[in-house]
Parts: sequence; structure tokens; C-alpha cells
Amino acid sequence: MAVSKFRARKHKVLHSVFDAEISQPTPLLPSTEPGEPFGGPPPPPSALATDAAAPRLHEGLMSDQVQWDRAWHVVTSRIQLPSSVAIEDSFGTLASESQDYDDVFSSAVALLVDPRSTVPLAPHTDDILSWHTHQVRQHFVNHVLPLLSACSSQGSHDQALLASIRTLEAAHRQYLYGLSLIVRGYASESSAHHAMLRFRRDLHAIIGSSWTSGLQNALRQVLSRLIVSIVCVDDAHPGSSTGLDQDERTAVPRAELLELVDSLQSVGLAGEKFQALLAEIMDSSMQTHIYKTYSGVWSEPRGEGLSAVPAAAMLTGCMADLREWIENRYGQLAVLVFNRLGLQVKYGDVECWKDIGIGRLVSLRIQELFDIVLRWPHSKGGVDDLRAAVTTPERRLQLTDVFSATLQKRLLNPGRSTLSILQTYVSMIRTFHALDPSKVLLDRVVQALQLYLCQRDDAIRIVVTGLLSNPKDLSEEESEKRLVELATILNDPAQQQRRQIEGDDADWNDMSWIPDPVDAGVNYKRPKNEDVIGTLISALGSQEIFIKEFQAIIAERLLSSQTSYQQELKVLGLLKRRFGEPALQNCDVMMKDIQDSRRLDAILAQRLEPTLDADGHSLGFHSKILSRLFWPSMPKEPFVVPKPVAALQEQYAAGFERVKNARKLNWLDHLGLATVHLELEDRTIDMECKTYEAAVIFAFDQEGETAPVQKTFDEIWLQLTIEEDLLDAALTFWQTQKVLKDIGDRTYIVMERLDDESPGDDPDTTVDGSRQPASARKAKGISAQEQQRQTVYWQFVVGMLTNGGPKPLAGILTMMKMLIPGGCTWTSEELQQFMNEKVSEGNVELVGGKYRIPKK
Amino acid sequence: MNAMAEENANAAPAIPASKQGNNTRPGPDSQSVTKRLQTELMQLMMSPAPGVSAFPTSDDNMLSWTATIEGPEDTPYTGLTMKLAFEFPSNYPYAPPTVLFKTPIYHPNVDFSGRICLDILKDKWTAAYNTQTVLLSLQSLLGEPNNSSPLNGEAAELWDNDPAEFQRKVTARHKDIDDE
Repeated sequence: MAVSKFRARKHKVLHSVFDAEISQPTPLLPSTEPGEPFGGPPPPPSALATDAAAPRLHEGLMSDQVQWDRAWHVVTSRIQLPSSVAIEDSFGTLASESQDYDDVFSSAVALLVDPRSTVPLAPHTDDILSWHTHQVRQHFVNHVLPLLSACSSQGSHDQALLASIRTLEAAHRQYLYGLSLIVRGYASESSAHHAMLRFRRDLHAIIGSSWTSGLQNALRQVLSRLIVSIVCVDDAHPGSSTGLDQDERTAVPRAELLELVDSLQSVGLAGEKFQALLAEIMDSSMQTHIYKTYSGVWSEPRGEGLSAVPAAAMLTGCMADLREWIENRYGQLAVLVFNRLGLQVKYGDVECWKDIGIGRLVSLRIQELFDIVLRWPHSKGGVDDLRAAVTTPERRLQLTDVFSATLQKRLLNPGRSTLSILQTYVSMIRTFHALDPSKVLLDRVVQALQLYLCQRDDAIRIVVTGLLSNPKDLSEEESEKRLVELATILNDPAQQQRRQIEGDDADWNDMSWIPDPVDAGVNYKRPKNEDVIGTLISALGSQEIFIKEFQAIIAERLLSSQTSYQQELKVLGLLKRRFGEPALQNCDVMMKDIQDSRRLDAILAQRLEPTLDADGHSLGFHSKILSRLFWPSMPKEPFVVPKPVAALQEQYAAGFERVKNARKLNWLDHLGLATVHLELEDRTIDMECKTYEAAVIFAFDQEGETAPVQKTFDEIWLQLTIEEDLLDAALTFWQTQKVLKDIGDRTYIVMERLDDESPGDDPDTTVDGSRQPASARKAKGISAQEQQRQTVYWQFVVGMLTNGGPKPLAGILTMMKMLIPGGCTWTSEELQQFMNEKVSEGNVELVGGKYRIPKK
Repeated sequence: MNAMAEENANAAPAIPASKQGNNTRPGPDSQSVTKRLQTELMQLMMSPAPGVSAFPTSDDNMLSWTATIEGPEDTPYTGLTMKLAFEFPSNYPYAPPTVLFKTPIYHPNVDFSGRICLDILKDKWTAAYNTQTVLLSLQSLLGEPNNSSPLNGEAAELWDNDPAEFQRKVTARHKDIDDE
């Protein structure tokens, strides 16, 4: 039942569209009654009037029908469309009017148009207009559409479009010709107009729904070419680009476009589909314009544009430019085209476009943000754009999301040096401060960066050396290798002053106060200034670690031969303000040690008995006295100090004990510097070297020997009781200085004459060789510290597990972090490795994920 | 040349914190208690005494420690391990810690709930004592009970008169408390 119903409905629908009843060009023949003339001209009405009433009625019926049929035939045969067409011109030339429009035709049309009044008795009448419409429809589908698709596959898009339009125009002419003939039959002007309109509407509906993809494609190409050439004119000479210039340049494509729109409108292609297409293209042209004009342009493209547009005065560079562009060029074109289509553009629409345009610009800027950061401060314009437009939480979120992704991809990878990451970070701090002084955005993006920086061991060192470097002393090249910027900031008095304001929570006189951003976190606190150093330091992990590293570096610098420590004092002052005095007490003491020891050293050195060595040179002796508890632990690596020096040391120590009661000196022999004067057969050498290096070369000093002194590694080692790797480093040092020579079997000989050197010796390799042991030595020094640390940590672990029972790794680590003074520097992985070692040694066992001390 | 000056003065082991200079002023300052206990812990870790050890029970409360004493050789407690609980008052070290045996122990000076009768934990306490000295005192108490003031009269009597029975009671009473 449902099926039959559906079928009936389908049939009905089909009928309403394709009226099968009236498809024949020849009218239906009325029933042929006897005595009825067939096909002949209708008898004059006067003859009919004489007949009887009933047959007259019948006869009138007949003759009306015949009359109608005749008229139908006349008209339809005249306006019938050619059945076959090969090319556009073969739609047939329209017969000239005078020849065609004769009386017969006109009366026939008049009869057909209004059958009710002219042939009231004819039982079969049809609407000639719908017949025509129907035949046009069929003709269009059967002949014009194939032609159109043939056109659209033609060569270039321009040609295809043109051919299509031509074809449609020709078809139009043809169809309208038939229509115009019919319309003449209408008595009243208004009904004729009405019929005309209806036909046109039908026709346009047919054409409008007959878009082929080829045509659409062609139209899209042509339109976008035209629109882009009108709207997106490159302002090659921004200075000279006046309105006139642009108008001249765009006049040709504009005229072309309008012409195209006109012709499309006339053939009925300017329907909804065209409008959608146009909108699409306009839209993408805006995108193209924005990307082409503004990407990478972070400064104002046109300075004078600002003053010309007072409404946009608060907007900056690109944004003002974009608004102006949308209003004057984009909007203008849109208005022009829309007017042709008979549509209106509201003022509000243009405003809306401006918003859309700015949204696009912002998303472009957001994508570029990383590059903006890299180029800071030359990219200020870009940041200004963002600041003006990124106002909603959604956009802010989009910004941070995109930036975080870029950051992850472009910065936080092993290929980047820690220094460049830090430099980028500094730029980020500044850029984001300019963008959003509330710092919320920055906080959101830096988390990943901070986590990543924690993995970089050298990050703190770089920051601290950056802080301690002197911007004036460094050459260009060197300053690139360090974060000299930090030192510059540190020395900037403006930075120092502003920090003093901090701490005041509520500044009631702050007239520029604004509420905290809505997307700020819970513990949000508004920063007062960009505070590059502060942000940077807080990103480097805990304060303790930073201070520890700072201490190590400052210790190194204090022990160097540097004479002035202004920079160090300044940095120390800064850090004190940040972390508080107690945290940096050790550093304070270290500073004071150095100052004190300078004074003390002057006194003690005076009291020393002047000592002369064998050749009558006097020996000077100076020291720096450190308070052991406050300095980073320095492993003691004693060796036998050359006798004259040892004597001095003793005197010095005795002097010290006299001055400072109940204190005694512990010598760190290997940390000092010595000036060495070497007299060889062909040359004398004066140089500064490490104390252990001096001790080693002193071991070669033998008075009265004529042959070059020769010693083996083991001999010196026993004589000096020096650490092996220290000795190694010293020997390599003297080899690179061309004072000693390795003659094989770890035996060294003094090179009394330089020409002793065998020509095959490549100096480069020896220089390289000197570096390796030095760094190895350093590593050893650290490992000694590490060794000590491991012992302490092990005691903690044992104590914890003995008394607290079995614990998982994480539990052990938290305890250690809490309880070991100064915190536990190990990561979970390091502890894991350490515990694994202890497990394999049998000192602990791992049961059910928890460590415990094995029972004896 | 560089040298390190070592302070030999005022190196009394009880107050290593004095080396830091300014703190350890008397007063119920929880900061200073924590600091003192931290120092003690460090000292215990750096120079552990044989047979005794102690460690904070949890990482958030420095005032509560767990300690372990191994029974000294040649005493009835040889081979046994005793656990103790230390509770430090907030004015430590000006008041003694409260010390309890957690492991059941049969001893003349310890009652059945683990309370200890030891003079230095009561009126003889001075600030010079510390956790380690308390532990060492307790360790020696295991070998030499003070039978003049027993908390467990039976034990005092058996100690003096029937060492074999005493040993049996000690072994019977001892029970390793489970870790955790």
C-alpha cells in the first residue's frame, strides 16, 4: 500500500513538473462526429446561427475546438525551437518581425492566450505559456547543457567562461523570442508583464540549477583572478601609493569584473550559487591579502596612514592599515558588485568584515608569535597587533596553545643549545610582558620550557655567568656566547629602582590599575615589571640549587687572580634582595673572606723572613684564607710542596696562628697559582702556572747536573706523593710548553734545547692532549665530591630503612629531600640506579616494590 | 696559595649548630628544634655509633623519630633488635624526649607498656645530651640494669638470682614488631 501511494505521489510530482498532457506540438483532435469539417477553416459564425439550438450548441463546441486547435497549431509551429543544434549560432536566426508577425499569427495568439473568452466552448484547451516553458526546458536540457559542458572543457578558463556565457545568451535570445511572440497576444500590459516575469523566473531557475562543475571551476578562477587583482594590489611604493594610482591600476580588472557580473546577471547565472561562490572568493581574497601583506611585517607599513584615520588611532600599524583596506578597497568592491546584483551592503556588514579581517590578522600573528619573539624588539608592531586584538579568553587560550606547540617543536629539542633556549626565554619574557603585562600568558606557556630547562645541567651556570659577565669588556663575538643581556639589565638603574616598589600589595594611588585577567590562576599575583632576571631565576628550579650553583661559580671566580669583584658584589646584592639575606649568608662570608684575607695577607707577608732561592731570586708568598664551612667543599689533594715554599708555608701558618688565636691553616696545595722562572740552556721561561705544575717541574730541578734531567712517572709520583691524575695533567702541561719531553715508557726528560725536538712531533696533537687530562681531572674532582655524597646518602637510606621499615623508592626520595640539609640533589632515576647498585651488592633487598635492609 | 682556616674553638659536640653562628638561642622556637634535630640526624648519619640508629618516622614531622638498638654482646639481649619511639618536645633540647620501647622487652627498668626508668630521661637530663647519647645509654642499660629502682620487680629479682630463667623470659617476651 505504501508503495502504491509513493508511486502515486511520484507520478503527481512528475506531472507537475513535466506536463505530459501538453507536450505535443499539435493539438488534440476533437472527436470526429459525422458532418464535422476536419481541419478546414472554421465556418463563419453567421452560418451557424441559423441552426437549431441544440445542434448549434454542439456545433459551436465543435467549431470552438477546431478554432483553438488551428490557432494552437499556428502558434506552436512558429515558436517551436529547433530540435538540433550543433553550435551556438545554430539556434537559428530569428526571423524578422515584419515577415513573421502577420494577422493570422496574432489572432491565433490572442485566441490561445485567453481561451475562456475566445473559444469558451472548446473542451480541450491548454496554456500556451506553460507549453513554451516546457519546450524551453526540454530544449535546454537536451541541447544547451551538452553545449555548456563542451564549452567549459575548452582551453583556458576565460575562454570557457566566455563561451558558456555566449551560449546561454544565444539560448536566451531564442527563448525570449518565442515568449515575446506569445506575450503580444495578451490584451493587458500588466498580464503580459506578469507572464514575462514568470517565464523569466522559470528560465533562470532552470539555468541557475544547471551549473556544471567545469563552469563553476572556470568562473571561480576568473573571479578570483579579477578580485585579487583589484583588491590585493601590491603597494610596491608605499610612499607614492595614492588613491589615484590604485584606481588606475585596478580600473581595468574592475571594469572586466563588473561586465562579467552584468552578463552573468543577464543570462541568469547570478543566482544563489554565484553569490555563494563570490562570497567564498571574496573571503579567500581577504585571507590572501592579509597573509601576503602582513606576514612578517611587524612594523607599521604606512606611518602616515595613522593620522588619516582618527577612528583607528588607538589601533596600531597593520591593524589600522587593514581596517582602512577593508573599508576603502574591499568594502568598496563588494558594494559595487552587490549593487549590480541588486543587493545592498549594510554599513554593519563592513564593520563585521573588519572584525573578521582583524581576527584573521590575529591568527596570523599568533602563528608568527614565535618568530616575533625571536626578533624582539624589532617585531614590536606584531606584538602591538596582538595586544590590541587578543582580548577574549578564547583568543588568549588559542594564543598560548599555538605558542606552546611551536615552542615544543622549534625550541625544546636536543638540537638547541641551552644558551639559545635561554636567550629565547629572555626574549619571551620581554615579548609577553609587552603583550600582556599581567604575565598570565607567559606563565601558561613557560611551564614546558621550565621543565625542559631543568634537564639542562648547564642552564644555571649560563645564567650565573651571564649575570657576572661585564658587558663592556666583551667583544661582539663573545657576547653572543653568553647571556650578557642579563648583566646589562642588572646594571640598568631603572630595573633596580622598580624592584623596590614590589612588596606593596595595594597601591591605592595607582591610577592605571586594572583588574586581574579572568583567566588568571588561583595564586596569581600581579607583577610590577617585566623582571627578566627574576622570572629567569625562578624558572631554573629551586632556590637552593640556584644558590648552590652560584656559590660554586663565585668560589671559582673569587679564587681566580681577578682583582676586583664589583660585578660579583652587585649580583650578590641582587640575589639577596630576591632570596633574602640568610639564604646567601655563605656567599657573604666568602666575599668577606677574600677581603679579609687580602688585608691579613698583607700583614703576614710582611712578617715573612725574606727567602732567597739558590739563584738569589726572592720568593713571594701570598694566600687567600677561606672559612671552610662556608665554601663549597673542595677536595684536598695534598702533595709534597717544594722545600723553600714549604718553609714559607710554615712561617706563614705560624704567623696566622699568632694573629688568630685557636685557629690553624689547612693548605689546599693544588688550588693555587705559582710564577715559575725556568732557566734552560737556550732560553729562560717565566710563566704563571698551577701550583702542582710548579711542584712537578721543580722536581726536575737538579743543581749541577749537566745532562738533561730525566725522570719516570713513578719516580716523580713517589717523590711528590701527588695524585696520579694531577701529575699526569702537570706533565702534559709541561710537554705542551715544550719544557719536558716524553721519551717513551713514561719517562720524561727536560728539553734543555728546543732544537732537540724531533721534527716529526706534531704540536697540534700535544695541544689537544693537554686538554683531555685537564677535563678528566675536573671530572675526578667532582666524582670525589659525589663519592662523599653517596656515602652520606647511603647512611640516610640505611637509617631510614632500619628504623622506618621497608619503603618504596619514591618514599625514600621524599624523605631524603626533606631531611638532608640542603636537599637531595638526586633525581628519582639517580636514586634508582644507586639503589640498584646496593641491591646487587647485597646491602638492601627489594621486596614487593619496597626496599629493606636484609636481616642478618 | 689558598688555605682553609679551621675553627677549633667551641667545637663541643652537643652544639654543632653553634658553628653556624647566630642561632640556638634558648626559646621554644619550633624552627630551632627542627634545626637542632636536623643537625643531630646529620651527625648520626655521618658518624654512626655501632648498634644504634635513629631516623625520623615521617618526613613531615621532625619531632617524632624511630630508633633501633641491637642487643649488646654478652647480655641476655644478644642478637635481638629493639625498636623505640622518640617524641621530642617543642622546647627540646631544654627538655628530654619521651622514649618508649616499641618492641616488647623483659627488663628490670622497663615496664610492660615500654616505659623506661632512666635518670637521664628524667631529672638528670641536660641540653648536652642528644639522641645518640640517649641511645648509647639505653644500650648500656640493657647490659647493666639499675636494679635499685626497678619498674619490673620480677625481672630485677631474676636478673640477680636466676640468669637462666631471666634469659628464658627475655626470649619469650621478645617479639620482632613487623615493619610497617
